[in-house]
Amino acid sequence: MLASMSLSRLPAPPADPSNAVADDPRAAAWGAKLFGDVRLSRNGKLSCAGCHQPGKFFTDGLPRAKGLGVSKRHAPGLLGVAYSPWLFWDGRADSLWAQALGPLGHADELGLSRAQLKRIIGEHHRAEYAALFGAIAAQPAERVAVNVGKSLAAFQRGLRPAPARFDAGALDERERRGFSLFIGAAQCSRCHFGPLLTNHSFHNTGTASAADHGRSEGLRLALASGVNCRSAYSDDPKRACPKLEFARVGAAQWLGAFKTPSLRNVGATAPYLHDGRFNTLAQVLDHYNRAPAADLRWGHSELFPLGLDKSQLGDLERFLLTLGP
Amino acid sequence: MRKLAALALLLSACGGETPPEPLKIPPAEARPANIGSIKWAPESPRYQQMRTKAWREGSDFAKNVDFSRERPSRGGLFRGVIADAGEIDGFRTLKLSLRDAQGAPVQGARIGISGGMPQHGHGLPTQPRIVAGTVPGEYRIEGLQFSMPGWWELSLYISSQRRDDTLSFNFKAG
Repeated sequence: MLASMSLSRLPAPPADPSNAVADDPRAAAWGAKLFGDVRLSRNGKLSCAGCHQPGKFFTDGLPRAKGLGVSKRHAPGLLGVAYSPWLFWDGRADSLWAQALGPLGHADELGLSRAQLKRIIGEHHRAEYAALFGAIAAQPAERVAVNVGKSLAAFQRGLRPAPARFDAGALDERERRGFSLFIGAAQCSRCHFGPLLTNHSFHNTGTASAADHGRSEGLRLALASGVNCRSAYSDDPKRACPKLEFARVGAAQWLGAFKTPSLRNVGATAPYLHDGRFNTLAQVLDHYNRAPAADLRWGHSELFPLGLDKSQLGDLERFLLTLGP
Repeated sequence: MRKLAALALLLSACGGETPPEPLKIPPAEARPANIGSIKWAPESPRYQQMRTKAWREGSDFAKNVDFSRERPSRGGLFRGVIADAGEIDGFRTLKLSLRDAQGAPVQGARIGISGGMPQHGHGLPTQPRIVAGTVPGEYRIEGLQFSMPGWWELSLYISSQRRDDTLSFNFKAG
C-alpha cells in the first residue's frame, strides 16, 4: 500500500487526443506565458496565476477564489492536474483545455468575452499564436479561445507534485500510526489512494447545500457543453468519448458529490473542501470523524462516524503533513 | 400513408442483430435481496442505515461474499459466467455467457445493470452498456470502471422469453 502511493509510481500523463498541441513544447511554453499574463482579464490586472499561484502549490490560500468578483468555490491546486479526467470541483469540464475557458470568461474571475480575448491575443501574442495555429485574423473568436485553452493545457500538463517526505519513507512513530489509520480504521484510502492520493471520482461527504449541488449539476453541464469531447473543437480523429458515453446521468449519488482532491501538499494548501470552509486539517478530520448528519435534500453522505480519539486524530494529521515539503 | 409504408419497408429490410433494449431497473426497495438476505442498493436509505449500523456494531456483512465467476441467478432460471474482456479507452469490458437451467444459451435477453460498493454505500461511477456478443448467449458489458480498490457488486436484471431473474457477481478490485 505504501509503495502504491509513492510518487515514483506516477506514470506519464494520459494522452489527450482531443488536444493536438497537448504535448507540444512550444504550446507549453506559450501556455506558461499566458498563465501569468494579467492582460488576459477585463481589468488588465488578473491572470490564472492570481488564483493558482505557483509559489502556493497553484492555489491561493483563500477560502474562495477572488477574481473580478468572489467565486463560490475554493481554487483547486493544479499539481498533477493532467491526470484528472474531469475538471472543476463538479467535473463540468471533460478536458483540461475546455476547463480553461471557464475562468477566462466568468464574470467573477477573468471576465473576458470571446471577442475581447481574440483582440488581446491578436494585439500581444500574434506571432506565437500564428506559429501554432495560423493567422488569427480570420479565425472565429470561439476557435481562438479553444486554442488558448489548449495551450494553457499543454503548460499545465507539465505540473507535477515534487517528492514529499512520505515518498522518502522517512516517517516517525506518530506518522506511521497515522498512516495505519489512513489505510485502516479512518478509511481515507478508499478515495485517497494512488500516487496522487485521489481516485479522481466524485463522492458526497455531507458538505453540499442549496447553493452548490456538485456533480449532479456538473455532469449535466459537461454533457451539454459546447466545448466537450463531442464538439467540433476536439482534435481526436477517432472521435472517441467514452467518459461521456458511459456517464451515469441522473444517478442519485451525484447529488451533493464533489471531486476527490489530491492530498499532495495538503498541509500547505489550506483552506479545505470545495468552498474552503475549513481553515485547518484538524477541522477536516473532525468532520470525517463525527460525520455530522447532512441535509438529505442535498444527497446522502457516504460518511459514518469513525469513533477516533484525539490522539488518533493527531497521528492522522501528522501523517498528512508528510505528504508535503 | 406512404410514409408509413416506406417505414415498414425500411424496418423489414434491416437485417442483422440489433442490441437488446436495456431493461429498466426496479426501484431500490422493490429489488430482490442480492447480498445474502440483504437488499443492497446505494440509493436506498434503509440500506445506508443498515450499513452504518453494521459498521458501528463491528459486524461484517462482507464475510461470506461469493466471488465465483460462475453463478446461478437468484430464482434459478439462468446460469452465468463472467470473464474479463480487456479495456476500451481505459474502461473495462466484461464478457457474460448466459445459459438457461437446461444449459442452452440464452439469446436476445434484455439485461439491465446496477451495482456499486456495498461497504461504501455508493453505486457505479459509470453507466455500462450491454451489447450482444458474437456467439449466442454471449453479451459484453462495456464501460465499467472500478474506481476504487475493494469489493464491487454487479446486479444483472435479466428478462428472457417473458421470464425475469437477477444475477449477481462480486469482484475484488486491486
